[in-house]
Amino acid sequence: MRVLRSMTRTHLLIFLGSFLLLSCKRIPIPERVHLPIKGDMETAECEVGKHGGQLILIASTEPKTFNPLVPGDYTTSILLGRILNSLFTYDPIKLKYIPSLATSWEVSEDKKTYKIHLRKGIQWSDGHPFTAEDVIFTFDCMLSTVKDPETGEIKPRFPSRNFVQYTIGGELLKYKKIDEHTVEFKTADLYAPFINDISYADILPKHKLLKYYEENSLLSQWTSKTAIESPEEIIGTGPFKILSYSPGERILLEANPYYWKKDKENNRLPYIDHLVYKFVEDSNAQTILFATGESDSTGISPEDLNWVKPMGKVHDFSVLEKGPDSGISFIWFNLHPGKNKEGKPYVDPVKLGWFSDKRFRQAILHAYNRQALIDSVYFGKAKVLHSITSPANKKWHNPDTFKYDYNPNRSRELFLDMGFYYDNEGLLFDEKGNRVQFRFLVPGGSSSHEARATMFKEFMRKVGIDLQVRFLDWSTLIQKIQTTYDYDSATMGFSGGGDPSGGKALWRSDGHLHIWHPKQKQPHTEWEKRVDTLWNQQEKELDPEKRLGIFNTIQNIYSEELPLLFLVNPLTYSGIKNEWQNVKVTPEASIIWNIDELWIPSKDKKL
Amino acid sequence: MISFLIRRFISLGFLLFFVSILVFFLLWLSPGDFLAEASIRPDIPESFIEEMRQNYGLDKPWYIQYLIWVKNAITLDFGHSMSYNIPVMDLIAQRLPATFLLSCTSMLFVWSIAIPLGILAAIKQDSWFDKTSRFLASITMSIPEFLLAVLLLYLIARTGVLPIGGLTSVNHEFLSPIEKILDYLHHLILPTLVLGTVGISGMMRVMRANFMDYMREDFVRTARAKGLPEGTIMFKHVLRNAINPLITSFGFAFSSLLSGSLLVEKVLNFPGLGLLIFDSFMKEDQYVVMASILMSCTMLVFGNLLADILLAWTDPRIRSSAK
Repeated sequence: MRVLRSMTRTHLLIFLGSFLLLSCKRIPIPERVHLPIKGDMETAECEVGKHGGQLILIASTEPKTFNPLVPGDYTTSILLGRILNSLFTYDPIKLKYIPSLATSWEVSEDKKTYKIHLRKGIQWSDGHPFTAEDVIFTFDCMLSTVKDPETGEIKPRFPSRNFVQYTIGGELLKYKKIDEHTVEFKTADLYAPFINDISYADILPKHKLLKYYEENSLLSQWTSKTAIESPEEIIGTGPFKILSYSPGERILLEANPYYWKKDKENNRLPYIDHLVYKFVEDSNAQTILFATGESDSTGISPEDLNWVKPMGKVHDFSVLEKGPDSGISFIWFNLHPGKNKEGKPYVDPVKLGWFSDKRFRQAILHAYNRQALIDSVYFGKAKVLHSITSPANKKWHNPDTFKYDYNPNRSRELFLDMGFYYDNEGLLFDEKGNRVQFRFLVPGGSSSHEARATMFKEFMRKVGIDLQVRFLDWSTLIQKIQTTYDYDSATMGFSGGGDPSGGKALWRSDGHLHIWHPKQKQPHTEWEKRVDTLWNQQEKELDPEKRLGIFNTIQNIYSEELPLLFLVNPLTYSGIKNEWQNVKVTPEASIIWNIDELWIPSKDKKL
Repeated sequence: MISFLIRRFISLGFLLFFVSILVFFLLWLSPGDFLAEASIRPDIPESFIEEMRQNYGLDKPWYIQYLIWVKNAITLDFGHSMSYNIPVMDLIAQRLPATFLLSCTSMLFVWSIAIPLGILAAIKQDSWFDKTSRFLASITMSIPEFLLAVLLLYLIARTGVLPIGGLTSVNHEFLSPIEKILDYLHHLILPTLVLGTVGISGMMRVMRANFMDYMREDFVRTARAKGLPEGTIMFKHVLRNAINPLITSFGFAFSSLLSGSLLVEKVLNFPGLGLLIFDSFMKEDQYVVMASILMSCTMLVFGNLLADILLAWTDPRIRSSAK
C-alpha cells in the first residue's frame, strides 16, 4: 500500500514536472531564411545595411480584406502594398515610374501596343516561379466577362473598380502572353497615362487562385479570416508576407525570403526581419504610443508638435516636416440647374443666379482670410492653397495659377459690380433687393471643421452676408451632395497625389464627383467645355512636357472660375526613431515608403 | 418551472422579432447606406457602386431586404459583413473572447471588492473606515469613466509599469502557455481597473444601505435574543436578505458581458466588440448591427432569467410564491 502510494506520488510528480516543463516551453520564432541570390533581381541604390530588427508601426483601422479585387480602406491598401506588387511602381523622389515586376516596356509605332518585359527567374513567397501566366491571370480576374442569363447583358465576372478603369477609348483593354516573360497590352485609342493606370493592378498568383477563379468564389478568398486562420495561403511578391494576424490588435509580417530586390553587396532586401502594425483607432492614443517609444514611426498633427518634440530626447526620435498635405480642402456652391421629381429646382433660382456668377465666387474667396485661418487653427503650420492640385504633387502642381488674396474691399467692389448694394447697416442685398444669405453644410464631429465654419461665418458677416452654418453627419451630407442636391454650399476635402488622370470623376463635367454640378450630359458652361476638350487632348498627348502643359492650363481655368474655393493646405509631420537608417523624406509618400531599404544597426531590437 | 421557462422563451422570440424589425426600419430611415462613403472616392467608378448595391440587395425596399434577412436568419445565417466580406458570425467570433474575458474580470473585480467592503462598512457603521470608504466612493462615482481612463493612462505612461493598451504583447504567440496567461493578466489590469472602479463604488453603497436596513429588522433582534453568534446572524440571515437587489443587477450585468465597452476599447485600445459594433453602426454595415443588437437582446433576457433563478435559490419566499 505504502509502495503504491509513493509510486503514485512519484508518477504525479513526474507528470506535474513534465507538464510544467512543457508549459514553460516557448514556441521558437521562425528563423529568417536566407536564400541564395538568383534570377533577374533589382539592385537598390541605397546605402548597404544589415539584416535584422523589427519595425513597429500604427494603423488606425483594421484591414478589411487581403483581396485586391475587393474594395478596402486605406489600411487595406497599405498592407496589400507590402505583400503584393504591380508591374511598375511610382518613385516619389524621382517622380516617375520605375520597374517592379516588369523591367521595361516598349511602345509600338502607332502608340497603342505596349510590350512589357517581366522580371525573369523570380519567385512568389511560397517559392513558385513568377511568369507571364500570373499577369494574364490577374487581368482575367479583373476583365473577364459573363453574359447575364436573364437580360443578356455583358457583365464583369468579378465586379471590381478596375473594370471601368481599363475600359479605354470605349473598349476593354486587350492583353496577351507573348512568351513566359513578355506580355502585350493593346488599347483601343491613344492613352497617355497607360503606364500609370496599369500600375494600379496588383499581380495575383495563378497557381494559388485559379481554382477559386473557376469556382467563381474569387471575391470571397483572402479575407481577414484567411489571414487569421491560414496566413500562409496569402502569398505575394512583395517585401513581406503575413506571419500572424490578431484582430483588433496587430498584424505581424515577416520578410519574404524570395523578394526580388537586393543591395549593391548582394544582400537580399528587405533588411527588416519583422514588420508589426498595431491597430490603434484613437489618434491621441497613436501619438502617445509613439511619444512613449512604443512604436517606431507615426504621422503627427501640427497641434501635437509642441509636446511630442521634447519627448524625442528621452525616447530618441525626431519629428520631421514632410511638406504640404497631398489632399485639397475647399468650399463650393451648388450650381446644379436641374429640378427634382416634384419639379422644384434643387437650388433657389435667385441664389443659383448669384452662385453661377464667377464674380460672386471670386468675391467670397477675396473675403476669406485664409492666413488668419492658418494662424489660429493650424498654428501657422499650413499654406494657402491656390490650385486644384496640391503643391505636394510637385510634378503636376501649377504654382502660377490665379491667386486671390484677402481683400474685403475688392470683394465689395465685385458685389457692387454685379449690381448688388449695401444698406446703411452694411448688409448686402442683390439687385432685386433680396438679402444675400445662404446655407453652409459642414461635416460635424471634427473640431477643425467647426473652427473653420465659425471663421467663415465671421468673414461673411464682414462683407454683409448672412451665412447659416449647418452641421451634418457624414452620410447625410453625402446624400445631399450626391443624390438629393438640396443644399446651397458645403465644404469637404479630397485626397490626391500621383498622375491626375485618376481624378477624371472630379475634373470632367460628366464625372460623378464634379460635385458642384455632377454627371452633366453636355458641358453646362463654356469653361467646362474647354476643360473637357483639354482633358481629351491630354489623354492622347504622349509628349510628357506637353501633357503637363495641358494640365497647367486646366488648373488655371479651375483657379479662375473657382467652382471650388480652395482653402488651405496643412503641413504634415512624421516622427521616426533616430536609429533607423536610409530614411528618405518626401511630401508625396509616407516616411517609410522605402520600407525594404530601412535598416537598424542595433541587434537587440527583436521580437 | 418548465412552464415558466417556456413562457420566457416564447416572449424572447417575440422580442427578437419586434426589435429586429424596428432596427431594420430605423437603419433604412437613416440617410445613406453602406456605400455612401465609397461613392465620394474619386477612384471608385459609379457603375461599380451601383453593381455593389445590387449585389448587397440595397436597391430593394427595406421590407424585402428584411424578409430575406429573416429567411436566412432562421437557418442561423446572419448575413455577411459588407466591410469585411466575411460572415457576420465569424467577425463577431473574432472579437468575442477578448470582450468576454474583460467583462468577466471586471465583474469579478467589482463583486469581490464591493460586497465585502459594503458589508464591512455597514457593520462598522460611522467608523473611520465607513467614512473614508463613503468619501472615496463619492469621488470615484463623480469622476467620468473616460477621465479615469485617461488619468490612469497618463500615470502608466509616466511610470511604465503596465502596458499601454492592447490585450497581448507583440511576441505573444511565441510565448510559453504560462507566459501567455501572465501576458493576458498583465494587459487586463488597466482596463479592469477603469471599468471596475466606478462600478465598485455604486455597488458598495447599495450593499451597505441594504445590509443596514436588514440589520434593523425584527428577525435580527430575535436571533440575537436567541443567543445566536453574531457571525451567523450577519452572514447567514442578514446577508441572504441584503443580497437580493444585487442579484437582480447581476442579471443586467450579465447582459453587458458581450456588448463590449466602447470607451475603454477606444482609449485603451482593447480588441473587443464595442468598437466593431460602433464602426458598423457608423458605416451602416447593417447585418453586423442586426446581429449585435439581437445578441445583446438575447443576453439581456438570459441574464434576467438567470437572475430570477438565482433569486429563487437564495430566497425561499420566491420559491413558495411561484408554486
